[in-house]
This record gives sequence, structure tokens and C-alpha cells, in this order.
Amino acid sequence: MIKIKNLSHIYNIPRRDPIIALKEINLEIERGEFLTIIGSNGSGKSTLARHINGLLLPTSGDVWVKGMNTKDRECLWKIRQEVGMVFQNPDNQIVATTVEDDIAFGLENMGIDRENMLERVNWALQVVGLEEYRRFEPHLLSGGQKQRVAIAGVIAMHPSFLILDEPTAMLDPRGRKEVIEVIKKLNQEEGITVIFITHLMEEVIESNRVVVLNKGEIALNGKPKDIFLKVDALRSFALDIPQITELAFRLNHKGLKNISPSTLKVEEMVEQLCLYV
Amino acid sequence: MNIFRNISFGQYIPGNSLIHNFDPRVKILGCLLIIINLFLISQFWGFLILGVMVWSGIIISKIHPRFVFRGLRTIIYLILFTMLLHLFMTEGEVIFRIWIFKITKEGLINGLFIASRLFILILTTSLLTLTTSPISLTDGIERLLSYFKFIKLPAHEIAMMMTIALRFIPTLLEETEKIMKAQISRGADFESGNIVNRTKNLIPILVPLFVNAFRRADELAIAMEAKGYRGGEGRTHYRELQIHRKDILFFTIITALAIIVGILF
Amino acid sequence: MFIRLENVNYTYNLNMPFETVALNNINLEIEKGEFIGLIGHTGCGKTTLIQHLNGLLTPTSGKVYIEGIDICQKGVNLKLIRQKIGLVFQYPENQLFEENIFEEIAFGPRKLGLTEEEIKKRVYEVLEMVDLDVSYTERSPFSLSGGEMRRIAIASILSLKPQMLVLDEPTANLDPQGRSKILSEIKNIHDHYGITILLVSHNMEKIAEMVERLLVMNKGKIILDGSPREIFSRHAEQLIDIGLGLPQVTQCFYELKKRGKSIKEGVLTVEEAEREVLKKIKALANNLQK
Repeated sequence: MIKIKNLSHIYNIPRRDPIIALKEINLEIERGEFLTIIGSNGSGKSTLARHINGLLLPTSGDVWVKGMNTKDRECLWKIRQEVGMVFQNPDNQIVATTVEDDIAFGLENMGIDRENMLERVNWALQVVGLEEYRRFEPHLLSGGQKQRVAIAGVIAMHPSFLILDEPTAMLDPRGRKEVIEVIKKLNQEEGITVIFITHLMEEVIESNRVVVLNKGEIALNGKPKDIFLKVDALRSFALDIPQITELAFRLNHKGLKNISPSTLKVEEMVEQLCLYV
Repeated sequence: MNIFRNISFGQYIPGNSLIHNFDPRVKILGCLLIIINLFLISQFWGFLILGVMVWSGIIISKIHPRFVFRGLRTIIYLILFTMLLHLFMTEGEVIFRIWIFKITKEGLINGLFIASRLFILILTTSLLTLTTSPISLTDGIERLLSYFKFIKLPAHEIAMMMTIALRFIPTLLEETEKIMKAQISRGADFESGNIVNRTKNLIPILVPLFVNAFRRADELAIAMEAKGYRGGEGRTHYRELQIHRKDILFFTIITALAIIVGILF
Repeated sequence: MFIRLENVNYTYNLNMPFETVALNNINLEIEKGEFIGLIGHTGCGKTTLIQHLNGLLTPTSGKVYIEGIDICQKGVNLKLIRQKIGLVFQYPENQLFEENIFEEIAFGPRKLGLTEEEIKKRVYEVLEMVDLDVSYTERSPFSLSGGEMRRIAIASILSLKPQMLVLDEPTANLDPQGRSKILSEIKNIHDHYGITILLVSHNMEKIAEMVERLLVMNKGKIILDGSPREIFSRHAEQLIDIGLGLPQVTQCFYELKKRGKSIKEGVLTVEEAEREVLKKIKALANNLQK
């Protein structure tokens, strides 16, 4: 479990006003959750993510991972192993010159013996569906495939938590879909707790809980269905409403009460519209 | 405009020959031995034996000689130039005279020796890089360097730098091409002007390239840290290097031949 | 005719082991003042195609005409072509290099040999086109936000006064706010300054709303060419087949139709969808009363 208490973070930049990136954040993340953190640029979502595995330390407040405080230097490496992290740019997080070597990178750091390593690399390759690509050089892969390599490299370390910091932002729709499928699978089949960061509303649909960040504060926290009801609030946080949700919202307001304003998927909308037309 | 697409890097040709399967450490050391030998010997027979050795290596590796000569092509002029230099510039017993140039016996021998030396040197290193993937080459170098830990040689760090360089060469080449095209679209001109202007024209490529490279380095460092990287201490290796009997045999043969050739010639 | 591509083929690494066909017999005509969208999967040849428009790539076979001039023949002033057809690459903020924004935007005009006076005029003009304040000129381009940097990069192409602007994924990796800002500027550049636009994008929803003509590429070929409404209504199945899909509301109406409902196809925007549903309900109610 992850517990964040009164977390604030201030960036001090020489000769400029300090930036308050996070203000008094309180958040608990349970095992097995699929939590999405959403917010526009500058909302503090990446800063929050980097506190969870101790890449950043709080200006004030605390972060505990399974009872270990990230400020405790002794626990740092244990925390990094418990909390895996995937970043935005797939090119800039692959270290080794082949897919399998890169997946093994974290395991080598952990000092895992070779036999065990081989087993874990094979497992990770299979989970992300890249078995045929194990000997490929990373620059020959598509964006979505590279991002899956990055995910495989992290899950091979057997973390309890997986943070993905805007992993889809630089991908095309096809790559996006691939990555989201893999994340869903990791959460549902492998029981990994997922903390998924994005600025796209249509990507929160698969999660169990959504936290909306705005200007360093938690603005909304709840199930996707409930969050999507707050169309006006979301707009004011500079977030986009998917077309279908917007249509549902409008029709509901026009008196079509059988159309739920928190319709998230096209299929749902089709079902509901069939009642009317 | 596809400036970089035609350059093949590392030029490793995958294969499954005896040479391919030798331990990279043994191959690197064998290569070194031959090269040292090349500079020690001073008789025709020595060159012939070494040449035959390397050439049989190429035949065993089943690599098409075309690839071997491709590596040679870029350097052939250098070889010819040094050969001619020696040919004309060495004093001694004159055997031939054209206008002001004179060719001496010593010059002829020297020139031929220098050319063979360079020629065999290139063949040897080509054989190494053609049959060894960059990754096992790096591994081999890391292990070899780690034998020198007692003089505080940062073997792991050197190897990590090599790995990252290999990993990012294609990415950076692609990026350079893209930036060049983008700046050309903005009105830049890389083809005309004198040398000063041409150098100045590189700024629009170099600045963005460096800015991006620094950002990449920064992000890569964070990603490595997040995966628990903290130097070579306590690290294990995914790639296993094992010395087999054939490696020992190969190494013994090379060493023996090298010593014999070295002493005799 | 402003631009004409005739049987253009392009192959990377021709006659090499890694030979790949990127463009396969492309025929395309573009008139002045058009607003065109180009969609297709990564690797379908979009980027290769747009690099032919300003002579960065020369076709393996076929011809490219800009205002009637075959730009592949020897002696053509490609600099002039590149000034006419402004090409904005993906992530253009990665090419910024000058000390301040004024110099960044002035780079192109300076290479054209304009006077200081003219350069200054152009810089201010294009800053207005991308809706950035004049006070920006002194600042370093690297001090800006991602969205602003991208607008500066677009401004640095606009300062060449191109007749056509080609943009490769100008909204990639921007948040919703930055995205709508850029898109509304592009629309403005087309509507108010009469510049021909070719917009490459993955964002189906936005592209369906904005453009007048849509090109769909797949595996090196232009497979569809027409108005968004035409393409999304008549060729919906094909788009789904090649995995590009449809905008959400379009897909919703497409599936209603598939279930036998008599409803309009090729609906492009939320507003239109809302109107159609309400109209349909009203019609049904009227029928019931009768």
C-alpha cells in the first residue's frame, strides 16, 4: 500500500519565483488498484509520480511505500524495486542494445542470478507479447513496441506497483492501444497495482479510480463514471471530454433521461440510443 | 537526402560459424596478438603466414569476402599513399630511376611491408567486428578490463559507456538527418559558401542536436536510477561468457603460431 | 494547378538488402487555398510523401510539379520551392537553436537576404499569426512551454511567407489546451491569410471537424480522397478494416445504422449528432401521434 500525507513540493529555480508543484496532497493507493492520475500540463502529475519511488523527495509531508518512508535513504533501493516506473519517451529509457538485454538491465542491477534472470526475462517478454522480438535492436521497433519493452524491463523486477508517467503521450493510436491493453492485463491477470498518468480523458475508462490534479491539488477523486459527470469542472481544468460523453451529457440535458450522462464507450451509447431511435 | 541510411554500423554479419562462436575475449586477445606480431616481424614469410592465418579465419567464418573488402575500400588510398611514400623516400641501393624519382631496393621492401602490415591489420579487425556482435564485443572488453581492476580500471563504467553509445548511435543519426531536413525547410543552406560559412552553417544542426542529446542523457539517467542502477558493484550479468575447450584450443594455436612467427621472422 | 504529383514512387535503400517501398504510385493534385487532412498509420508513407512536396526527397520514379514546374529536373531553384511550400516537421520545437525568439524567427528571412527593416516587419507579423505577444522576441526559445515552442517553430516557417503550410502531427504530445490552441491557429492561418494547408494528424475527431478534404494513406498508397463526410459515410467499413477507425460519434451512428436504424451516416461532430438524434425522436413522436 502507498500512503501520501500532506505532500507538498516546491521547485526552487535560481533568479525566478519558486514553483509550487504540489500542495498538501493526501492520497492512499491500495493493492490491486488501477488508478489514473489525470491533469493538464503543469498540474503536478509527473512530480507526484516521482515522489512515489523516491526520485523526488517532499519539500514537506511524507510518502510511505509498504510502510517505508521515501526519505529514509536505507529503504530507497528497496522502494525502487517495489515501485517500477515507465516514462514518457520510449527512446530515452532503453539502455541496452537488444530487447532482451534491456529487460535484464534492472535484474542485473538487483544482482539476480542468471538462471532466475532468464526465467524472468522470458516471462516479461511473454506478458508484453514481444517474444519474437527478443533479439531485436530497439531502434527497429515501433513506438508502442518500445514502450512495451520498457514495461517488460520494469515488471521483470517484480514490483508491487507500476507507475506509468504518460506512457502513451508520444505514441500513435495503434501504439496507445497496445500499451493500454498490456497495462490492463498486468493489472487484471498479474495483480500489479497500476498508477497510470495521462492527460487524455478517453484513457481513464479502464481504471477503477481517477484522481484529477489541478494546479498541484487534488481536484476530484472517484470512480470514472462519477468523474465524467462533472463535465464543466473537467473543462475548467483544461481537460478534454470524449465526444461520446459529451453527446450523452447534452442529450441527457435535453431530457433523454435514459441516456446516462456518464456514458464512456461507444457501444454503451449505441445500446442506449437504440431505445430512442 | 538519405545521408546516413547507407552507413552500416558495427557491420556485424550474424552467422553460426566456428569463428562466430568463439568467446569474444579469446577473439579480442587473438586479434591483439596478431596485431602485435605484425609490428614485430620484418620478413616476408612472417607476413605470408599471418596473412594466410587471417584469410583462413575469413574462410572458416563463411563471410563473403565482399564484406571484408568493403571495410578495406575506405582505407585503400591510405595504404597506397604510405606505400608510395616509403617507396620513394627510402635511401639505399637504387634499382630504378624515373626523372627525379628513384626507387631503391630498401624502399620497395619497406613499402611492401608497410602495405602488408596495414592490409592484414584491417583484415584482422574486420574479421573480429564482422563475426562478433557489438554487444558481445562490449561484454568481452568489460571482462578483459575487469582483470585489471587491481589498478582501479573502471571496467564496468567503460563498458556501460560503450553500450549506451552503441544503443544511441542509430537514434542520433536519425535525429541528425531530421534536424538537417527541418533546417533546410526553414531556409538553411548546407551546400554553398566558403569553409567559414559552411562551419557557421552547422550551428543550426549542432545546437539542437546537443540540446536534445543532453535531454536524452538526463532522462536516461533518471530511468536507469529508477531501475535501481548504482554502478557495477554487486551487479550480475545476463550475458554469460564461458570459455569452452574450443576457445582454449583456438587461443593456444594462435599464441603458439604468434610466438613462432615472432621469433623466426 | 498548384501542386501535382504524377505516378510518384519512392523506395528507401534502393537495391539494398533492406529495400522498402514507401510510396507506391501516388497521384495527387492540390489547388491553392485548400485545407487538406492526411491520415494513416505510422509507416504508411505520410512523412515520406510530404518531404516530396518541397524537394527534400526526390521520387525514385514519377514527377512532382509545383506551379507547373517539375522540381526534380536539374537547375530548379529548390530554395524557392522550399520558401513556397513551408514544411513543419513533427516535434518542431526540437530544431530551435537561436539565442532569442526574434533571431529564431528571423533565421529564414535572413537567409532570403531581406533588409533588417523587412525582417523586423516579418517577425512581428508572424508572431501575430501564431498569437504570441511581441514581448516574446527578447526571450530565449528554451524558456517557453512545449506548446509555445511549437508555435515559435511554426512562426519560423511562416516568416518565409509560404503559400502552403504542411504540418506533420502538429499536436503530438500536447495537452488538450495546447492542442486546441495550435489547431485554431492553423485554421486561422488558412481562413485569414489564405494559406493552403496540409495537416497530417492521428486525431480523427479534430480532423473530421476541421478539414475540407481528407486523404487516407495505407501502405504507401493514397486509398481514399474526398470530403470527410463522404469518406466517413461511404468508406467507414474500409477505415475500420485497416484499423484507423472512425471519430467516436461517427462510429456510434455507423453502428446504429448497422443495427438497421434509419439514421444519417457520416456524422462528424457532437453538435450534428445531437441534432440528428433529436430530429429523429421528433419524427418518431410525430408518427406515433398520427
